[in-house]
Amino acid sequence: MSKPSDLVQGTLDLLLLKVVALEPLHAWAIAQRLKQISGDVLQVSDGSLYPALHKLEQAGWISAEWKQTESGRRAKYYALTAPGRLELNQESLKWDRLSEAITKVMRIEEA
Amino acid sequence: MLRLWRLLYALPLRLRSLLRRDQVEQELDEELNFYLEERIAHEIAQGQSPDEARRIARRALGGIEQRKEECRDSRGTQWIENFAADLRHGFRSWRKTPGIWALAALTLGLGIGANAVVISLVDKIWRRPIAILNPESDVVLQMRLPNQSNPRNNTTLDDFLAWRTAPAFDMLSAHKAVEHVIISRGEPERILGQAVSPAFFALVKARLAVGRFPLESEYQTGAPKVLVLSHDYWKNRFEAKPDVVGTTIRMDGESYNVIGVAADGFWFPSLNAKFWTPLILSATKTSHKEGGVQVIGRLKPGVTRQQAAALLVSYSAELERRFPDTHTGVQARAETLFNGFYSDADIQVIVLLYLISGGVLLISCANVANLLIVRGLSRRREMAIRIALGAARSRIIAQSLTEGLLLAAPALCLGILAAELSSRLLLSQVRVPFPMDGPVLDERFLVVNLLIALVSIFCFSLFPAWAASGMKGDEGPRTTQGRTTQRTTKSLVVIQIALALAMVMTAILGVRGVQILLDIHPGYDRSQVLRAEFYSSRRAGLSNEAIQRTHDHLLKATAASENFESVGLISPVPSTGAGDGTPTKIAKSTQTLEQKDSPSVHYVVASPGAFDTLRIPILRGRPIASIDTATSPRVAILNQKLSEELFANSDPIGQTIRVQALGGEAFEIVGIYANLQSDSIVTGPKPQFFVAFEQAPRRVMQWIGRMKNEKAAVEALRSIAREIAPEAPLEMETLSHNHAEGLKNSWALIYLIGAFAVLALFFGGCGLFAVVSQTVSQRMPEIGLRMALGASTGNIGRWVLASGFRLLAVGALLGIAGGVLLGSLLATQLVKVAPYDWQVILPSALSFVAVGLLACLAPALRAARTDITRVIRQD
Repeated sequence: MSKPSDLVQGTLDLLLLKVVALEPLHAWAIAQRLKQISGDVLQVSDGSLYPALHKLEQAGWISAEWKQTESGRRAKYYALTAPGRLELNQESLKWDRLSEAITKVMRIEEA
Repeated sequence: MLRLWRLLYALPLRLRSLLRRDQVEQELDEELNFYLEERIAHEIAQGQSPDEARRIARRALGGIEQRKEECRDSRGTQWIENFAADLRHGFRSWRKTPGIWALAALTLGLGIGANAVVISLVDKIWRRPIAILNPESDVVLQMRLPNQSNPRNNTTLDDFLAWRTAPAFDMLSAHKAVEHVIISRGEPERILGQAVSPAFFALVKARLAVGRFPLESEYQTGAPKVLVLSHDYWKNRFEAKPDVVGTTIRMDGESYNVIGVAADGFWFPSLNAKFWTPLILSATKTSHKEGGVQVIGRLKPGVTRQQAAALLVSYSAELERRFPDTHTGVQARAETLFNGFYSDADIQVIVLLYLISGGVLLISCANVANLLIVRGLSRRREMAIRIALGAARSRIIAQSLTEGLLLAAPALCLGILAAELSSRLLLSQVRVPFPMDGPVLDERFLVVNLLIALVSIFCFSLFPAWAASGMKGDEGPRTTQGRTTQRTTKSLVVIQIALALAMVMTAILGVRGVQILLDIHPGYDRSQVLRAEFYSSRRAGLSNEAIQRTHDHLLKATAASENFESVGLISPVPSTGAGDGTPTKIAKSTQTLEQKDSPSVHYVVASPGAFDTLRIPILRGRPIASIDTATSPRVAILNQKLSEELFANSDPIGQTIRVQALGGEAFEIVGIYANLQSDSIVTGPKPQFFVAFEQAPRRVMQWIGRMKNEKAAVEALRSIAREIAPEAPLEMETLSHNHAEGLKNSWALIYLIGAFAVLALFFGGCGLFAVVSQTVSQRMPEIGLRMALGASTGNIGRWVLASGFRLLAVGALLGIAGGVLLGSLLATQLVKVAPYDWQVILPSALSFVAVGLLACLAPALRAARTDITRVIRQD
């Protein structure tokens, strides 16, 4: 397996928001989900996950709740807040535009 | 909107992390642990051994504490926690140097307070009348005579009438002080008021409590006389009864209709104005020539003061042509309100006060800077260690600033307290002709001062951090302070000492000046002389004969009274601030009065008793005597100065002079008297002569009497006056009292400067102390070495003292130069003391030697008591 590509600068927040938008998850599950959906391409380092989640929480985009896991342990579950959903929509639109533009550039045939 | 919505989620979190910090921390711990365990479980599932799994998981997280710190940072409440920690640290570190802390706070507090109070006071007192007007558009119009020292009173109604046609002004108003006698509760009372032109009330934004302002028609000749009462006078004399409007008041035998009462708080130009009455502009020509009219104009929009001034000048030629005797060589001016209301001498005092209070603030800031730098030097090691341990620059700066805040806060409280207290004390000493409503202290100035203080504290609080950042790790506390910082602290001390010495010199100069004024001998015997005047004699309505009769009666009755040694009439009493006499040109009988260079001198009118009463020394010939009557040959008594100027080579007795102001008549010189002190002490005695009252009668005369017993004499005079002229107010005072009163405000000024000088001296001493003690602690190793090599304690003590006194000497030299400069500002105010007088410099310098000795003594003793073994052990 090749080294997972570094996350494009600033996209970690977007990805985290998207992952918790589907269902409330704890941090470990978020990391696993991200890896799994992206087919092991996107892998957030353990070190940057927590500060990013806490930052989003403090910003009011996501909220946290302590819940029991399936194995019966207490874990902190993160869920998207209403303003977080708005932010996610805006940011994903921006992302679409950006990736589309980059794709266009990259498709140019070299002479 | 979105921001607010988010805050709804974020705010509880932040509050929670502040208030339930332990719980939040514990949750963070639990969350990270859970993650770690999941990760370990994951690795084990991947086939790793438990130990290996744990190692991988920990490495992946990259340090739990760092992650925690990052999470904490994201809370956004970290700064509060940091601040609290900084405060705790600050308290601890100040507790280690309580002396420096107390000294710095005290210095700065007093500096701020003193400065704020003086600036507020200056602003409050001097800007008060100006604040009533519009400083942007209002100008003071003046007619200055050539070489006139007090230009304000030379504007006449003629000028006002001419200027009224100038198209530069929206409004032009004139007001002039008037005084009348009113019978109040059976006693005659003299009251001051203002005769004002139609635009006056609008220009000064007058408001009324009851009634109305004068109508246009009431400013015309022959209109019934009306007046508007001041609120104070209405309250005190008429018990604030509103029905006083519509009644008539008799003043000087004339009836005035009261048409209104000014609103509470309105006064202009001063509280002394008890009423305002229309200025009748079409009155007799002679009153139009009298000076003392104040003219204020409001410029039309777009017209500048310079344009207005140029316009006024263009009127001067015409005025000069029409009134050659009063207007030759006049200069018309349009001044700013400040320059118009205040003489150059007033402005000098204001500038001086600003300089001195600014100087005190500067000294105190320099002092704080010094103390903080000195303290910072001793903390370089602490800073270096913290930086080496990885403290962020921002945190070190924040910490230093917090420490500064701990110094600033008590300094500010002290400053406000000092300002509040001293302003009250000061106001009780100064006589101000305006209502001083509201607090003296202007919070704007206090705020500015606080800012200055904060900035200086913060700047120098950063010094330890700054000093440490330039330091290499291996430099320990043993290193001596850098050459640059040493230079900084030393030059700061030199500046402090110089400023302080300059101030002390100014204060001593001031005290000497007032002392000299108090001691000035008028040339006659001031003690035990009572002066009195019937103010009805200034009134137009009374005939000359009636006044003459009153004066005669008064003289006879008082001469007969056993309470007086001698009595007389005189006008004016010399050396009382009433002027040197009437100005006139004179000529020797061989010359003509028309000659351009004929000298301008002053003459005094006096009755025979005046010379005896004042005990004016007669050098030759005789004083005015009872033989000098209206029908006998005219006589004049010259002062020594005039006699020397006129008759340098011949005997003046028996010669004649002609006096222009007395119709050019010839006066025979019958005596010479010793020079009397002139009112303007700067120039020394001026040429002057006396003429006999009987031969040159005058309406306004002052009665003087040499008392045997002050109390009985005053009573006697009062009862005599009541008998002679029951409706005329008699105002009396002793000449000594008049002399002391005239100096009251000067004393207040001197007290103020003196207080500042003491502060400055104290601050200067503190600065010197701080720097010398610092040098001693920095040089402990050197001192130890010297002692080990055989230096005696005396040697060491002298060495420290010498290092302090070197600074003192440099500061003192600069200070004396500054003091002479500052003193020359004062010189025109308090004359006869040259700022470079040794009597000024010597005590100032001595006071500094004393303070310097005190400041250096403790460090010198400490150095002399150095324990060599301890110093060596430090290495």
